[in-house]
Amino acid sequence: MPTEPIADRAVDRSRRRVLLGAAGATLAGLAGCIARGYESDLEGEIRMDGSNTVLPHGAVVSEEFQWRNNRVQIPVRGSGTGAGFQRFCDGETHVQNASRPIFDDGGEDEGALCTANGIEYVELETALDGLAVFVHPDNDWCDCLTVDELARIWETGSDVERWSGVREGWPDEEIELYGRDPASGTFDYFTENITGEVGNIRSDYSASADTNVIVRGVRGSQYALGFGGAGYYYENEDELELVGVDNGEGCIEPTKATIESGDYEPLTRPLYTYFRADALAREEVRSFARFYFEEIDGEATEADIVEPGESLTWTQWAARRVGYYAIPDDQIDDRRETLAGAIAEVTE
Amino acid sequence: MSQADTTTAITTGGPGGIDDRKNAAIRYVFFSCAFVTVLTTLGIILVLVQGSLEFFQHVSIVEYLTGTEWSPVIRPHSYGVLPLIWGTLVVTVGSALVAIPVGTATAIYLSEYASPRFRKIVKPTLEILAGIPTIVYGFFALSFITPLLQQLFPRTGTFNAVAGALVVGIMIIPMVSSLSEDAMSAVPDDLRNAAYGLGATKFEVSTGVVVPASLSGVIASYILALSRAIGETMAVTLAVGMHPQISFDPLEPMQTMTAYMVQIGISDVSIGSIGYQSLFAVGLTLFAMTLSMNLISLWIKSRYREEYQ
Repeated sequence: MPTEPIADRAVDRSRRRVLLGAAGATLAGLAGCIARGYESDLEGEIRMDGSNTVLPHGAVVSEEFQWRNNRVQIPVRGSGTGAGFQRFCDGETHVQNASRPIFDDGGEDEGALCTANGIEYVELETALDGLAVFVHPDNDWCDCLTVDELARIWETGSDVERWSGVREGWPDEEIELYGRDPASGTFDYFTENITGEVGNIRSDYSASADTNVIVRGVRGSQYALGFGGAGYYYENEDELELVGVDNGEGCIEPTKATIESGDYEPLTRPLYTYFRADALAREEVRSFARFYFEEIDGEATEADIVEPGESLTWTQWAARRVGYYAIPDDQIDDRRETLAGAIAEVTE
Repeated sequence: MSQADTTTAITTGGPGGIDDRKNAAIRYVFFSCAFVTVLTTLGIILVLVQGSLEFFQHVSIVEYLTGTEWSPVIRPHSYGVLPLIWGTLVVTVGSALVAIPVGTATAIYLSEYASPRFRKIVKPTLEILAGIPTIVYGFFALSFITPLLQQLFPRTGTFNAVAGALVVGIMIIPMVSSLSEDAMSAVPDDLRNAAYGLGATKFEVSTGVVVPASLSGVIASYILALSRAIGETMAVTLAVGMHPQISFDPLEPMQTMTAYMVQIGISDVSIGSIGYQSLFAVGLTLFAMTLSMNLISLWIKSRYREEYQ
């Protein structure tokens, strides 16, 4: 009998402790929610949409910006470059990520929609991406292709069916081709720069909206050839082999050095961020846009993406952080000027 | 209706009682459920037809139904749906070759040979096959069946129709076996006993009496399973590939109608473009195919139903 109350109290005490702990954790969690990041005098919502490819870059920059201005909300979506431009030119979003420039050549296109709706914008190159051509690791013959050879393989109506048709002495085996689907900016950029015209591509390749499917296809066959963002190669280095691209200057593979220096041609592509001009009249949007080209602060330098002696801006830092490449330093000032010009126009 | 009326009469014992109102309310609930279902179906048909009409303003129906090239988003554009129908049929026929013999044999075994206790365990176990998410089948095809095929036939592509057909076949076995078993179990024992009385063996009874007698149910199960195979999406998207072509080599990649719809659905095509509209045309075609399969199944059921007693 005498043991019972003691046991009861023990249970009681431990339960109380659990409750206290839970309450503490909840409070801490709430506090974290309320005071996440730093207060500033900026406030408002900036809607960002567009390319899935550029989304991680935009998300990282906006996350850092929101940390420093915690009353600014920046929801980021990835509807795709094309669908994003439609929303952007309908006035639904303020910032548009794009893996290609806006179509604006006077036809019935995105540019026309923007004009019709009176939407003006400023286009800024904010990151670089390399497109990689890759093959199966057991492919021991093809480690380099000239742009001309790539064009012959990929162009509309291509008669290259076998590796032996690319270069003499290569295996007499059918090439399995994998690539991005026509709705992607990657597709546009690849076809334009390899075959000379957007959309000039053979129709009998396996087209996918998902680069992982391309990777899966290529790593499954010794005779496959595919293209996709270089980041996907570096995520699957053991299962793929890079093919260098020869644009007349010898064989060059996409690496940080060759892409950021502009040597990996013609498959280094710029990624864009568009700001709506009238949105720049709002202080928080203006300051978000400038933030892209401001130098990173102490909190960001500890990451190993910054090399000793380098001073990066947020857009460069974000590009490297998500697996893309930084635009060259000497272009940063140009971007700042372009932006300043656009801001001056709406604030005067 | 008459049954409902008698129930009312029994439970209330007079008109205008509380139970009467309750019954009316319940009837409304059930009716609105049915109404929502019908409305949804009508909505889907409306959306499909509307989108397709826009598509067929740019593309002639003749070209769509007879063309042998399908490339609505890659220039030169061509809008012949046959390669997609071909891919779908290859997968469907392939899966039928797997599911029909295995499913029917399983059904015969369960209905005629297995002990009731064993049947009680095996039937639900088999039905688990139908409960596995189809994307899991897709990964199973990609990571297990395709490598196996590649060892047997080295020219097998990473994406190929055989692997897709095999997993879809496995997926629909429970539909065939379970529904067929129900039909076979419903055959009265008198028929079996009469055959035994004539000196037939168990095998002869199963194949010569039970299967023919339950044929309407068995065939209906085949057709239901096949419409399921036609509409199957995730497994074929993963395993069969994105390569619309009319090829007689099932080890090559192809593309089914559903896989095309996934491809366009998740890609960046802009709303209103022909590529986007083609989604509706293909969807409508698919719907027409599965609908006619279901109608055929209904017709067979009523036409060949055997009435006992």
